[in-house]
Amino acid sequence: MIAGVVLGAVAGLDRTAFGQTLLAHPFVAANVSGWIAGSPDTGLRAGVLFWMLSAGRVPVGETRIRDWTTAAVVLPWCVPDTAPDAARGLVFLSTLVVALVGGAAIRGIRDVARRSIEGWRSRPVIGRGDPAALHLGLTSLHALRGAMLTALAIVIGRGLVALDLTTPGTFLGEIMGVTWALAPWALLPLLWRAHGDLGRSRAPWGWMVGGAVSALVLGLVLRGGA
Amino acid sequence: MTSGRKSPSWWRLWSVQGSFAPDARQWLGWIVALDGTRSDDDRSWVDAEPRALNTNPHLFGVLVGARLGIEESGHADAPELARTITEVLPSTLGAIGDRLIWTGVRPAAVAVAAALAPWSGPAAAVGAWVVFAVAQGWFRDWTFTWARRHGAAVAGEINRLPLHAIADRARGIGAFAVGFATIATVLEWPSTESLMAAGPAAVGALVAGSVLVWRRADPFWSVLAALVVASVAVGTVG
Repeated sequence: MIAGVVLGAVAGLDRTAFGQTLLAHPFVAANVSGWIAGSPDTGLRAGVLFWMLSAGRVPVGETRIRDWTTAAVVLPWCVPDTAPDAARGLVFLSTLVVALVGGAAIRGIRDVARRSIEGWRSRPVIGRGDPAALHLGLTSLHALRGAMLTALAIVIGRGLVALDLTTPGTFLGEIMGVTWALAPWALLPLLWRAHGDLGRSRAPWGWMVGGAVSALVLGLVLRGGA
Repeated sequence: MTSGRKSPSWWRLWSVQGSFAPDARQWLGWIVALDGTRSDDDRSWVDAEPRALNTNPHLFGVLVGARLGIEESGHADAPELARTITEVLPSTLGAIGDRLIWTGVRPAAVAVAAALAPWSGPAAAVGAWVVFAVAQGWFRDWTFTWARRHGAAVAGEINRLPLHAIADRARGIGAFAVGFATIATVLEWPSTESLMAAGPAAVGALVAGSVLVWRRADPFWSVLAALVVASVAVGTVG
């Protein structure tokens, strides 16, 4: 779990504060997290779902901030690959709350930054101090936010799984199993629209259809060969 | 203005977003980057800078490099040029960088990794991360040096770089990979008993999600509402 918290801190920095090297992208974050946690299949599937949810959003200057990065890091640490789909569905829905809380925390840090910068500017030039110290302090808050939220969410998520609320055959178990199974279908339009809207022409739609047809043909060829 | 500035440390160029604030935006990151080029502790120059600054973080080095190039040129009109470039260039770089990085190369890198993931597992995501991180690190360094060499001419010269062509090519690759990944991952999603019983619900969830997304409702709540309603309906009936 310590590795997960460290990953949450680094990804929290990478998301908007430092580097933006792609680690914070939900698809990458979930896969790396799943790899480290020993649940690569859950990581891959979580990555696909959070990729769809975050598609089309630019992590700079957002108005509706949602922290899909932390949500993507957390999920593979709560449900191993051997867990039933119902448990994955329950934790998936729970991590959506993580995304909302994380977004609110980012807005809070930015508000702290606004007040700190105003205070720094209002002082006489001689008494302002090194701007790099203030800058690094504010930057490190993003790592702290990522670490704390990841730790808290993993503990709560594992607690939810341990409660065994999603036993097969129960009402909640049925619903959560269906949620996990239907999730990519419900979220797919987000991904399609995001990539269709990236260009000003209809060309991306043609490329998308081309990619889908290629995958279908390849799949048929591979299955025919097998 | 003095000539012969030192280059700012790399972390000053990579962390411009770290103190992002709603009003000043990247202002403090800009001040920290400029401060790293000076050898003295006199910061009276800070109050002459714009009160807010916002640009694409991956192209931030272009702004810093151009500013240094102007100040090092020793021209009589360098102070005026420096002020103008600081006010005008951020929005230009923002537009170019958003198109190149946020809607071009970045989504394409992820889409290609997602298309390969069913065969490669997490290695595709890790590979995309490493390649992107190295490439953008090189890009930040190269564009800083390039802008420092060109100074005020950067505003015109940047349109001679093939950045728009790279962005267009990346968008096409990204869209193709999204189509491929859709088939490769979503259709191969583990079929559970509940999903087998709920084939029509899968189609219903897709249609409901599509309608809500295309009507441009807030995707978070609208798509989740479609998902939860479909799940409860199927779970209850099933």
